Amino acid sequence: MYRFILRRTVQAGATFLALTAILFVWLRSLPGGPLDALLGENASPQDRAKLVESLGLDEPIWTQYVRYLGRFWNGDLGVSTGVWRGAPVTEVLLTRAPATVELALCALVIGTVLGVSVGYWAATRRGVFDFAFLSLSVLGLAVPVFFTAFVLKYVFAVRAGWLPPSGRADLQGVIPTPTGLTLFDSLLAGDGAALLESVRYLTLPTVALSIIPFAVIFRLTRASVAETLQQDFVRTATAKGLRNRTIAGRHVLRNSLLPVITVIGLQAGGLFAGAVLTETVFNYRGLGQSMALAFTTRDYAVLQALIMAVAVLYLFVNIVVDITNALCDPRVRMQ
Amino acid sequence: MTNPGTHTAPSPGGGKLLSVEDLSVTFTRPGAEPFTAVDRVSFDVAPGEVVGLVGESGCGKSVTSLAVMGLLPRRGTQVRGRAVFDGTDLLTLSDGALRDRRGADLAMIFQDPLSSLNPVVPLGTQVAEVIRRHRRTGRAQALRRAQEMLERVGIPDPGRRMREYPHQVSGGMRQRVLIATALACEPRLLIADEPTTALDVTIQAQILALLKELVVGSGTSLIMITHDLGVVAGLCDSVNVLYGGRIVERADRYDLFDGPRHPYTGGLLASVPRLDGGQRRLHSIPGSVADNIPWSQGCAFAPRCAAATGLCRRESPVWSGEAGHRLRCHHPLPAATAAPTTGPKEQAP
Repeated sequence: MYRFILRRTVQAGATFLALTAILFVWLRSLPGGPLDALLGENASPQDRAKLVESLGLDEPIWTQYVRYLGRFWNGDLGVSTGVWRGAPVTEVLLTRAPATVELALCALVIGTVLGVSVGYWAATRRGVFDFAFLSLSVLGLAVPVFFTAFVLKYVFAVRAGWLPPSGRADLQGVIPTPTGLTLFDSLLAGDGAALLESVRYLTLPTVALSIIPFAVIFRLTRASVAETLQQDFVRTATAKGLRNRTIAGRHVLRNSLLPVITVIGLQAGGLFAGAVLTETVFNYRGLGQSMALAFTTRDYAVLQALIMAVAVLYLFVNIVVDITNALCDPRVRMQ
Repeated sequence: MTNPGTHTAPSPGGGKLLSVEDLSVTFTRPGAEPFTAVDRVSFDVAPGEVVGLVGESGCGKSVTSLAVMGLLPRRGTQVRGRAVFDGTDLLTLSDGALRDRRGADLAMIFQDPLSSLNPVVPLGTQVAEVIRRHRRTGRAQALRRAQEMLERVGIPDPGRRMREYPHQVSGGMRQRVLIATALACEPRLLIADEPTTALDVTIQAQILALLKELVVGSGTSLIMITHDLGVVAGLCDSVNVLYGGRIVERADRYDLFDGPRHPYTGGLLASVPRLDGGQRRLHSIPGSVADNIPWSQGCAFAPRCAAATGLCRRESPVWSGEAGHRLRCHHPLPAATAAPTTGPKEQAP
C-alpha cells in the first residue's frame, strides 16, 4: 500500500513537471507577450531591448525554463504586472487559494453526499421521484454554470434579498484567520455570527457550482447501484439473512461507489473550470476570479502560478481518489 | 388449497421439514404475456433427506428454490401456494421474520462461486457476517468460528485465507467458502442450486464429496438442484424431475435410475454418457424447451415426445403410478421388470 502511494506521488510529480514545461511554452507562444503587457504598445525599441535583456528573454527558451524551475523551487513565482502590480505572485496566490479551496470543497462535498444518497435512493425505489431527478439532472448538466449562477443571484439575492449577491465573508480582524477558510476559521473560533456570515456568502456560489457534480454523481451512482443490485453476491447477502443496512453498506454501496470515486476525481477538474465562472459572477475573490482578471490584464506571472496551483489541486484530488480506490478495491491494490 | 387427486403426489416418510404445496411462480411484465415458470409444484423434504430437483435449463428448478427462500424480486413476480417450513409458511412471513430465518434455518449456495462472493470484502468477513447476524457473538468470536468453518470445508491455511479476497483463490476454494458460509449457523435445510456447474470436473467431485461429508448424515436436509444426473445418482434420496415448470416424475433414486417411467426422464438418462460401453451414439431429446405447449392445453413435453398422441395434445396428464413412484404421463414407459437395486444400470430405450 505504501509503495502504491509512493508510486502515485512520483507519477504526479512527473505530471506536474511536464505541465510546467507545456505551460511555459504555451504562455510564451501567446500573441502579444510580456513586452507589450509590461511596456505597452508604444514603447521605444531601446526600452524593449533593455527589458528583453533584463528579463533574460534573449536566451534560448530551455535556459529560461531551467532558470524558471530554479526560481520556482525556491518559492519565487515572480511579480504581478496586472491588477496587483508589484505584489509578489506568491502573495496573490496565498490570499486567493483558500477561497477557491473552500468553495470547491463545499461544492464537491454537497454534490457527492446528495448525489450518492439520492442516486442510491432512486436506484432502489424507482418510480416518479427517480424519473423527476433523472430529468432534473439532465437539465443541470445542460445549463451552463454561469447561467445558473446568474439566475440564482437574481432570484435569491437581487429579488428576494435573502442572501448577499456577491463577495465573500470578510473575517479579517473579526476573528483569527489562520487557514483563510471562512467556515473552518469560524468553527475554530467558535463564533456563531461569523459562521452564519460565512454560510450566507458561500451558499449561492456553492449551489451554482455543485449542480454539475451533483448531476454527474447522481446519475452514475444510480446506474451503478442498479447494476450492483443485480449481482449474485447481493443475492448471497440476502440469502444470509443480513440486515438491509449491512447489505446496502457493505455489499451494494461499497461496490457501486468504485466508479463513482473515480468520477469524483475527474469532476474536480470541471469544478475548477466552473469556479472561474462562478467566482466571476458572484465576484467571489478566489483563484478563478483572479484568473479571469489576470487573463484580461495579461498578467503572465500570476496566470502561470494560478494555473499551476489549480493543476496541483487537481493532481492532489486525484491522488486522494486513487488511494481511496485502492483502499476500497483489493483488485486495484494487486496491480 | 391442496388437491391430492389432481396434482399433489404423496410423499414418503412421516415427519416433514419442508413441505412445498402447489407452489406457482408467475412473472408478469408490462406489455408481455405473464409467464408461469413454476406451475403448482409440490414436494416434501424430510429431516436429513436429500431431495433432487432435476431438469434442463428453464424448467423452473432454480425459480422454485428462490421462491422458497424468498429471493425472487418482488416487482413483476407472483408467488402462490405454500412453503411450510417447520410449521410456518415461509411465503407469508414478514420480511423481517424471513430475514431471521435465512442464513440461520435455511441456507443456500449458488451456481457461480465467483460472482456469488463480494469482490471487495475479505473472505473471512463474508463468512463471519452471517454468524454475527444470527448468533449473539462478538466480532472476534465470529471470526474465530469463521476460521473453524473454513478449516472444516477443507481450506488449507484458513488463517491466511480469511484475509484474502475472492479473486485470490481458486474456483473450488470459493465454492468451499460459500459452503462454509451456508453451514456456519448449522441450518436445518440447505438448498444447493447447481453448486458444481461452474467448476472443473475434478473439483466438482471434491465439492460433491464435501457436501456429502458435511450435510448427508448430519441431520441437515438438502435440496440439490441440478441438471446433472450423475450428481443425483451419487447424492439424492429422492428425485423430482421437472419439465416446463411442473414435476413430471418423482421416485426414489434407485427406482428412477432403474426404471424411469416418464419419456422425458428416459430421454435424460439415455443422454448420459456411460463407461460400460454398449452404446455408440448419445441419445438426444429432439427439439428444445421453446417447443413446449402450455400445460393448460395438454402435456408440455408432447411436441418433443416420441410417444405423444392426440390425447397428449388435448389433455394435461394427472398424477399416476404407485405410491413411491409417481408420474404425470398419458403413455408412460413400461415399468422395469426385476429391477436391480444396485444403482443406475438399465436404461430406457
